[in-house]
Amino acid sequence: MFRHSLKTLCILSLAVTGCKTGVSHQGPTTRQTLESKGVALVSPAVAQALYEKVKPSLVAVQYTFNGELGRSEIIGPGVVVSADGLVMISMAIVPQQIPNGQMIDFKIIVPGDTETEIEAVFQGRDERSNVAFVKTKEKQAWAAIDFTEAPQQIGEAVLSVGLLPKSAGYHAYLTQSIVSANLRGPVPQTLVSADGLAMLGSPVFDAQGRAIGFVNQLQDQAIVLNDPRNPLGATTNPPRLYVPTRDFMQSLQDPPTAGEPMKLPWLGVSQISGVNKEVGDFLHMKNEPAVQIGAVIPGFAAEKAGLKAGDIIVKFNGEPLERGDEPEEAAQILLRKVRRLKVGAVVSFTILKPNAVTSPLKELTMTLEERPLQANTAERFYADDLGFTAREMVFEDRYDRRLKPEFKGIIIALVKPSSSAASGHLQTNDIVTQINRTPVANLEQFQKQYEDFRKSNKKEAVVLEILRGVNTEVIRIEPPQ
Amino acid sequence: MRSTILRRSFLPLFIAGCIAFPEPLQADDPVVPTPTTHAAPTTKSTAVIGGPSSKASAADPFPGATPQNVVAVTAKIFPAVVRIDVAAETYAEGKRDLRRGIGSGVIIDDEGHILTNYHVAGRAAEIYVTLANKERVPAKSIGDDHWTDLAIIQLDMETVKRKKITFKYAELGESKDLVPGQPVMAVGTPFGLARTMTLGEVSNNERTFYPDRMEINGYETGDFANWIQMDTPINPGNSGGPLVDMTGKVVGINTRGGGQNLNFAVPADTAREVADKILKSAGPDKKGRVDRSDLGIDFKPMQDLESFYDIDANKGVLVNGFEHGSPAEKAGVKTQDILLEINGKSINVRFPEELAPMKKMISDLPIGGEVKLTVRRGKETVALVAKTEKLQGAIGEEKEFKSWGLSVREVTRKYANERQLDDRSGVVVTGLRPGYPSAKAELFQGDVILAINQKPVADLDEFLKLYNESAKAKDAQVLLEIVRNRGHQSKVLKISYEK
Repeated sequence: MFRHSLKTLCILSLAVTGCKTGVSHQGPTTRQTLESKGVALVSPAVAQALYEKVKPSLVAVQYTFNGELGRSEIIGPGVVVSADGLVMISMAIVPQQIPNGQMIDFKIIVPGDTETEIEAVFQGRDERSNVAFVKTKEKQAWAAIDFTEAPQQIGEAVLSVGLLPKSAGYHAYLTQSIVSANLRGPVPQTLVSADGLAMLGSPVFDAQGRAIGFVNQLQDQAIVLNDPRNPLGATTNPPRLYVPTRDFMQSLQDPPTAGEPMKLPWLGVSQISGVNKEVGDFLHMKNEPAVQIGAVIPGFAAEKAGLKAGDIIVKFNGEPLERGDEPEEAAQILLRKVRRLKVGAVVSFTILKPNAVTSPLKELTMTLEERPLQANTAERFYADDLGFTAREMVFEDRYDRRLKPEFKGIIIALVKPSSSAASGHLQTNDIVTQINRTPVANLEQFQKQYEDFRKSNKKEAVVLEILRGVNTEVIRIEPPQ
Repeated sequence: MRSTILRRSFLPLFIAGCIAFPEPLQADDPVVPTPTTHAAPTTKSTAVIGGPSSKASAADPFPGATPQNVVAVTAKIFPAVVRIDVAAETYAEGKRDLRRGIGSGVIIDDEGHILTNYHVAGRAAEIYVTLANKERVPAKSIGDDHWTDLAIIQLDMETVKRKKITFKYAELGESKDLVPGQPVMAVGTPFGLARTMTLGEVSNNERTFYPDRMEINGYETGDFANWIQMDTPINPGNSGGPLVDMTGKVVGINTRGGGQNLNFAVPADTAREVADKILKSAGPDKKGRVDRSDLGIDFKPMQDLESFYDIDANKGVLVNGFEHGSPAEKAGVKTQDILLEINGKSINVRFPEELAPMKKMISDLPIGGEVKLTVRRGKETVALVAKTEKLQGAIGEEKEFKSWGLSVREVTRKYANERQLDDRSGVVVTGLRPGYPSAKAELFQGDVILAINQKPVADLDEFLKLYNESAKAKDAQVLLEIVRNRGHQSKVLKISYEK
């Protein structure tokens, strides 16, 4: 079970990150070469002092993933960011695909000879910068790391302190490398030399000891401290990218708090793409960054403001768009900018139509609305007798299948392998529209119908009408006889 | 489930295990064992194969596979079985290409018509046939039908006459009377080894597959007839060859092999009907085809659902779903309706094996005609009237557009439904040539092109027209409107025309 969930986690982390790729391990650049070329690394004494200073702020965050198919413990590295015990972790540790209600028993493990476990409360994910927060229940004075915005020049030394995995007693370790490149992807990231950084979730420091970044947003990297398959993965293949503080400062200043889910704004558009050079030239755009709206979702802000599929945005709030390293990134940068605004904020877009070379610019103003609820907040019902989980439909489910808002049904979130539901060919993401010829109105009603039927007709099959993709199917689930 | 046509590209997979045959693909290679007992070429060009045992006696419904019978039947069928070398049209990386393959076939008349599989000769651009007397004759495609995985090709009769080549043809028998346990023989070109006879038995004569297995290379197949399953050994290259009974009549066309002696043939009863229809509809410039009616309903057997729907056993078929925009939807058919009658004829699909005959019955209805459907909906019996449409496959016609460096395909109703496209307008990008304008403009496979220079692309014909217009005008830049994952994007192709 644990292996299974870990695998899920790794896959999930890929889905969550999705930024700069293709940075491969280039082989070791040895210290000797660096020194012979006169690059100043931090002296051992300074590095040791930093190591000792940072160590008390590094903790392990543990929680139980209480899934329908079993439990697993997940442990990841965290950084204490306030004296009252607020801990920042990478969102990769708490992927969005895990339903909020299934993450339980948060604990903060303070490494050391007297390794202590402190009860903690999950504060929430912060999608604005792909981090999440946990807070200790007990009041106690914490040594916090104070992040500062300090852009690094190429060639400057950066240090990172992280925790080794559980199997190594969460021992702290330090790495040192130099800045290789400052990338401008959808998430700004700094590439460092092959010596690399400490594992995902570790803080990054400059030569003066200032906390200047966070190791986050990585693909193919160890994300937990208790992965039995590859316990020392992060040290043998160290990460080489970190996110500078400016990207997550907003989250530190305005972190989510428990019980108050973050309200994120959105435009009500989907499939935004960057305008490539060919199209830009065609429209005489002189290499200015621009993005094209793929689809406008009916009923939301963008549609009300008159934005149409195919429109090209050239300015946001009167300013030219921010450039990424490649045209496609302009779209993600813009979306990220919008996400950092408040619900209710008024924004403006300057657009042009993609067809005419002489299309006049037009300005559209809209008020940002709250993004619809995501699947991880939906109510769930686990039918453990036949082996499936159903959850409420959320906006995305309807949008994906082009269903009208009034369309009723529930989503199959999970089918237990080898269960009755699995042998009846029920599949994840099926939408159940009828149970035993009774239309499904909502999860509660479905659950009642289901439980009543199962109680009084233990040996009889449950017949579901479902929507799979665009096609209906009739599914017959034979209970164990 | 692999199809049993042998592709040259697949060869390395198989050659490892058959070291005894250094070059099995060369039909004329002397290393390949050739039968010494095949019928000597006759001076007269054609003759129906008939034999002493072509009529089974009442006391002996199917002659046994005695050594004498096996030898006699082999001698009888051999002169009608051919090896087929094809160069089939494929599209890869936006480019029309030819892929070489080898299959088998059986001559069915004195005009040199050969029955084979669709997956052997269906998309063939070049065909060569090697007759039993080892003469090689070019052939052309006459027509095909992927729904039954059958195709008809014809020997080039000019060549046959000019070179005074002789051949024989085989007789199609009846497959409906086949009995499991009955001996059957296969003749064909396994691994390129022409004129290979193998012997086995019918394992089952109403085999049906799971729906996801009902296709070969993306083309739907097997919807309208169950398969003959036999343990007669067949291998890649046997595809399209005949399965014969011990009277020497063709009872099936060998089509698929599952390994471990699980092999499958298209029944001769299906082959006879399809061959007739293809030959009737084919013209000098027109490929023969089989047109069928469609209601667009996805059916499910009633098995174990009779009590749930409170219906007598052996009655009706469950409507599992229907395609959007289909005749069934227009007629008001609903999921979970039980279809009881079609034009007053009662339907009974209790088991999966009964699906194909019922679908066959629907396919035989007149295209565009009205059909009375009687359905049970809850406690009510409802009469509906549907107007059938011509059956269309999931894969549309494909074409290459050289100067843009891409290949595109027509959007079929099934494709539009599966991809949740707004409608059937546009064409789908199936491949891109690296370094050519479409690839440079960052088009992807699966993009749907909706407009060229702001003119809507309704279908493949329209695309061709606009492409030609643009080429004629020597447009240096072409503005495309595409849909990718439901999002609209503009793309600009930069084209350089040689002066």
